[in-house]
Amino acid sequence: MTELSTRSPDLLSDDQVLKFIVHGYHLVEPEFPEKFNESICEQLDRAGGNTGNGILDAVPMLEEVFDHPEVRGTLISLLGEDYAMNGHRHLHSNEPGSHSQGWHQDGTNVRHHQIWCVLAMYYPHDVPAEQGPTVVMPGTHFRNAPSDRLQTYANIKGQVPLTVNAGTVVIAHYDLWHAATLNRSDRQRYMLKFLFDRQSEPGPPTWNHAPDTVDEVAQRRIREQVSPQGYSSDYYKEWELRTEMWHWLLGQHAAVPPGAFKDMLS
Amino acid sequence: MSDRTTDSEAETVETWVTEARRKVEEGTFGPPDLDRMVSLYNRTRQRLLYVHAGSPSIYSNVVAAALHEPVAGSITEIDPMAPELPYETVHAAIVDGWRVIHFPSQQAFFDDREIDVIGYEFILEKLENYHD
Repeated sequence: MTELSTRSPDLLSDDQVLKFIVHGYHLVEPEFPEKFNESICEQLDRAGGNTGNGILDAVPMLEEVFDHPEVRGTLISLLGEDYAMNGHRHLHSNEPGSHSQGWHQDGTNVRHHQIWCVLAMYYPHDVPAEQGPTVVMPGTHFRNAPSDRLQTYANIKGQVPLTVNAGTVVIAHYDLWHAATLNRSDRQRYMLKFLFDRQSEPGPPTWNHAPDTVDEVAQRRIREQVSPQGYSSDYYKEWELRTEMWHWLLGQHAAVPPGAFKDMLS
Repeated sequence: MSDRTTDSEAETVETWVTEARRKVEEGTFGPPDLDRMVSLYNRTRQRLLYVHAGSPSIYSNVVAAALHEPVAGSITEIDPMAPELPYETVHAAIVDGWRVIHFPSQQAFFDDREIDVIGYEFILEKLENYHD
């Protein structure tokens, strides 16, 4: 057992949980032992091709990525203490000269405004803009849009290329719009996508909850402008959908009715 | 691979007409000139620009854009190194010579609670000369 795996998990703050609710993703930049990421890259090179769900057997060191206290702390904060790693995982190798994927949400289009599953995307090497970063569109995890309908988009104002440092783990809501982009470099880009599932309905907060200050933080985050459409009808609906997800995570399982945003204006 | 030619680089309908007028006046206009006209017409291809605007108004801000070139093998993709979107509004694109061939429906599906796609889709075209 390593020193890292016995350390207490680094839980998120209210602000970080609320930011996840609004943006749909959270970057974890854990410090791994020297040469850890390089070693994983070498093992991925040796594993070759697509090992499918067997990637964890081919590269057992990946367990340590998701056991890191900062990664565990994020998963506990968002999914509860009894979260579980899903059996599905995938090595995404974006080869030099590739073209971008289309925007998509994973899976089928059964949407809710809760957090039952997250994507955990681990990048074992630096990913500059020319090396085919994943791109995400903040706030789109609330959009009930089948991937087919996203195929006439290319660049969207406010899209975020995940140009990250080696070792970064991006935790994203399962419904967030994302895509791999073209790789202009001469190096392949690795990304390991794992899924983590919530096992039970939320009860008391499983993050660093501060009841004395949370209302001010929530008011600010719930009103944050993220969509490129500006102060549109969608913006006010987003207030309600964000509030519903926040309340649900706090263990208050009542739907927020349409028009409730008016009560949030005061 | 085909290349697009701009008005300053190639014969256009306007330059052909100017030349044809001169030849008609000189009495030298003939079948080869008509063949050139047909060739000129056949070089015209449709460029497409999908634009998603913040509302169905052509003056609202553009929030997404995808340009499709009428060239074999052309690919339109998400570019993490892309500069700004090509136009601020659909109106600005029209001023630059694009024609709107599809307008978003003002009576599109509406839900008072849920949200779905981003923006309202306009499809624009521009006819330009291409040569192989």
